[in-house]
Amino acid sequence: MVKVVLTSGTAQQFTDGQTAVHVAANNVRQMIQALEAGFPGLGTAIQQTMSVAIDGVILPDPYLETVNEDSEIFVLPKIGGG
Amino acid sequence: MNEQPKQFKWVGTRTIRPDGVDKVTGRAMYGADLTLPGMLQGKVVRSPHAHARIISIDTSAAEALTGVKAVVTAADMPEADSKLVAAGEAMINFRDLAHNVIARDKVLYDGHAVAAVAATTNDIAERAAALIKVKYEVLPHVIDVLEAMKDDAPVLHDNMFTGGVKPKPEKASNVANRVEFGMGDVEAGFAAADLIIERKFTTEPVHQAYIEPHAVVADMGQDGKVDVWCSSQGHFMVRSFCAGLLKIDMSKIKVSAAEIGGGFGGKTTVYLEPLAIMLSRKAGRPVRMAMSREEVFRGSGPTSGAAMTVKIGATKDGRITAGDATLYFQAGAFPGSPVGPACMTAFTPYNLDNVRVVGFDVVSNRQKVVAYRAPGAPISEYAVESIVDELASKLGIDPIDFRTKNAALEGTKAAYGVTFGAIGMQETLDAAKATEHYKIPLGPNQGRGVASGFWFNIGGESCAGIRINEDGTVALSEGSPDIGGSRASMAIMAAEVLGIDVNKVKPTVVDTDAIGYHFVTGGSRVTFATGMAVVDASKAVVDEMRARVAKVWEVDIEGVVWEDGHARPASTNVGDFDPMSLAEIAAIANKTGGPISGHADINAKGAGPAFGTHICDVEVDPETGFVTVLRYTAVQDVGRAIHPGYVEGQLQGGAAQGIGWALNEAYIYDKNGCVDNPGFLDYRVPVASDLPMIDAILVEVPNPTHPFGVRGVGEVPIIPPLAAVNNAVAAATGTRFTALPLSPPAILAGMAAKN
Repeated sequence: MVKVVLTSGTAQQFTDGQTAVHVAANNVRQMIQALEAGFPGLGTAIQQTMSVAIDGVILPDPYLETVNEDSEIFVLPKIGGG
Repeated sequence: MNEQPKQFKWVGTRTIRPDGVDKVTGRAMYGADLTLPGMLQGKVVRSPHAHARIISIDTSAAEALTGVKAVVTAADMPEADSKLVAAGEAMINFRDLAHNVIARDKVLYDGHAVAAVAATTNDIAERAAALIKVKYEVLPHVIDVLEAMKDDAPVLHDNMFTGGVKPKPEKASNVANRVEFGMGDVEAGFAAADLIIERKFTTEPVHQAYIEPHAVVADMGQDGKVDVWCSSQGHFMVRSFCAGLLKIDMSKIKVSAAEIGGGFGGKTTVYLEPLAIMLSRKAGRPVRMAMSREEVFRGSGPTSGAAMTVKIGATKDGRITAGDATLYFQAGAFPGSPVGPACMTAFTPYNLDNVRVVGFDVVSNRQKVVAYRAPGAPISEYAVESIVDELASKLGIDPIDFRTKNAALEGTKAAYGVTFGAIGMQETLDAAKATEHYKIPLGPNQGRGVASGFWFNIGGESCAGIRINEDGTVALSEGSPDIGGSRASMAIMAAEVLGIDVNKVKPTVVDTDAIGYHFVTGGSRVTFATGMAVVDASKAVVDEMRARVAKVWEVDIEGVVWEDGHARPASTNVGDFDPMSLAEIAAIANKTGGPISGHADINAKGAGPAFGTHICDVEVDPETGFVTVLRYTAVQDVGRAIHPGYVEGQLQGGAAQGIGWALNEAYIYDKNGCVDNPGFLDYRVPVASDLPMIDAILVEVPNPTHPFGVRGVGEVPIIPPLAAVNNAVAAATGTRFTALPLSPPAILAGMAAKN
C-alpha cells in the first residue's frame, strides 16, 4: 500500500476531508486507477488538473513512475510558470 | 559572482550571444517583420463595453468596401470542446480559450474581440473594422474581485458553479474555484505565539508589458496546409491551440518561431493566431495581424489583482509558529487565475509546522489573466513578506536574521507538502547579509527593505538535435523560443559536452515540422529541460563518434574515450593511436557510416526549486510622496549559471518589473469598466532613468538532477521586489502600507493618516 497525501481542499472535495489515503499500487498509473475506484472523480481530476510529487520531485505528467510504501507522494495542482 | 568551478571550460563563461548581431543591426525578424507576396493586413474589432450581450453583427458594409478580402466572426469558428489544456500557469478550458479569442454570445471585458477583417492595406482594414456594426445589450459589470464575489454581483457565466466545495452550489456565481492547502494545527500555532500580526492587502492587475506587441502572419494554402509565423513563448502551443480551436490536423499546421521581444508569460496563449488563419482561409491569401499597444493592454492578459488577508504569529525569539492566509484572485473574464501557485508559494521560504492557505479564483469583467513571471507568487509572497518584516521589526530582530531563524532548508517539508532536497534559501540570506549594501548607513527619509521569494521551477517536454557538419562545426536544433538567451546556454552546454569551441556551435530554434514537441518557454524551464535534451543529444553524438573511431582503430568502443574534444585510447593497452579531433572524425564520416547526429526527446524531471533574497533602499519625499529607489541588490540561488551574463540579466529584469509593480503599475478602469490607461504614457513601467544599477549576486547551490546543476532563474527575481520596496517604504516613512502600487498620492495619504 502506498500513502497518497492530498491538499486539504482536494480532500474536502473527494475524500470527506481525509488528506492521507492508502491504495495498492506499484506505479502512478495504478495509483490513479485505485484512487478513482475508491474516490470517484479523484483519479480523473489528478489526470486533468494535477501533478504528483514523488519524493520531492514534482511530475507534471505522472504515469509510469514507480511508487512504493516508502514513497512520499503528494497530489498538487499543476504548476506552470511565466 | 561565485568563482566558477575549474572543471568546466564553457559553462559559467560569458560567451557572445548568437542573436546579438542580428538584434543590434535590425536584421532579426520579429513577429510583424515577415512579408509574403499578396499578403493582407488584418484588424480586430473589439468590444467597447465591459459586459454586454451581442445582439447582432452586421458585416455587410465592411465586406462591400473595396480592398476587403475577408471578415470573420465567432460564427466562422467551430464551437470548441469543453476540455482542459495547459496554458501558462494554469489549466484553461478550451471553450473559454475559444471564447476569449473571439466573443460568441457575450463580450466579457473592454477590448474583447468580436470580429476581424483582412484587407489589402492597413488603412482599408481599419475603415472596414469601423463599418462592422455590432448591436449590444449592455449588462451590468463588475471589476473588483471582492465586489465580484458578492451575492448581488453581475454573474459573468450562468453555467459556472464554484468548484472545490461540497456540496456543489445550486446557484451560479463568479467564484470559479476554491483551493486549500495546509498542514499542522494553525490554531495551536497561534496560541504558542507571543506576537501575532494580521493585515489585509490588495494588489492591482499589472501587465507583462513586453515591448513587442503580439503579431502573426498566417498563410493557409488551397490544400489546407497552414504556415504560421509568430512571436510566442511556444510555437508548439500555437500549433496545438490553433489545431484544436479550428479543428485542423496538427500535421497541416507548421508554426515558425519569430524572434520575440519579451513575453514574461504573456505569450503562453493565443489571441491573433486563430483569427489570422481564419482570415487567410477565407481570403485565400496570407494575412498579417499585429496589435497596437492599446490592443495589448485591452485585448491580452495581465496578471491578477488580488485581495488578501494574512496572519502570522511568532515567538519573542523570532520563530514563526503559524501562518494563515486567504487569497482572493481576480481571474479576468474566464476562470484560471494563478491562485493555486500563490497559495503554494506564500509561506514556502520558511520552515513552518502550521500553515493554512485558502484561495479563491474569481472571474470579473477584466481581461483574462495569463501567466506573468512566477504566476501568483509575487502577490501572495508580497503580503507574507510584508508581515514577516513587520514581525522582525516589532521583535527587534534584524530582518535577515529573522528569516534565517525560519528559513527552509534541505529536508524541510514545504508548506505545499513536499520535502525539499538541496536548496539555497539560507545561502541567499547569508550572501545578502554579507553585502556592502546591507551595511551602508541611510540618511533622512530613507529606508531599507528586505524580502525573500520562492518558485518551484518546472521541467517538461523538450527535444534537441545535434548534427556534426562535414567541417567539424555543429548544428544544434531545438524548439524552445529564445526569450532569455537560451540559445547561448544551449551552445555552451553542447560545446562543454563535445569539448569544442562554443563558436563552432550554431543553435537554432526550428519550426514545429522539424523537431518533436516542446512545452512552452515558461516556468523557468528551458535552460533546465531543453538543456538536458541538448546534453543528452550531445552525449549521443559523442558515443557515435567513439563508435566511428573504434571502427577505424579496430578496437571495442570501450577502448575509446572522449576527452577535450578528441577521441583517445582509453589506455595504453588499447593501442598506440593518435587522438582524433571532432573535426577529423567529421571529415571522414562518409567513410565510417555517414552523417553523425544525435537526438534526445525527453520529459525532464527534477527541476530544482529556487529562492532569492533582495535588498532595496529608497528615499521618500515627504512633500510629494515620490519614492526614489536608491540602491537595489538581488541575490538568488541559480543552481549553476551556464551564462552568468544572461542570468544576471534575468535577476535585473525581474527586479525592475517587480519594482514597477510595487510603485507604479496598475490597470485603471473608468466607471463603465473600460481601461483608462492603455498605453505606456499612463501605464508607467520603470525606465532606465527611474532605477539604479541593480546588483545581481549569483549563489550557486547546484541542482543535483541537472548535469551541470541548473535551476530555473527567470521567475524568482520578480517575487521579492514587491515586499522589498514596501518594507523599505515602511522603514523610510514609519508607516506600513498594505496596497500596491505605492503611488505618491497613496503614500501621502498613508503618512497623513498616521500623523
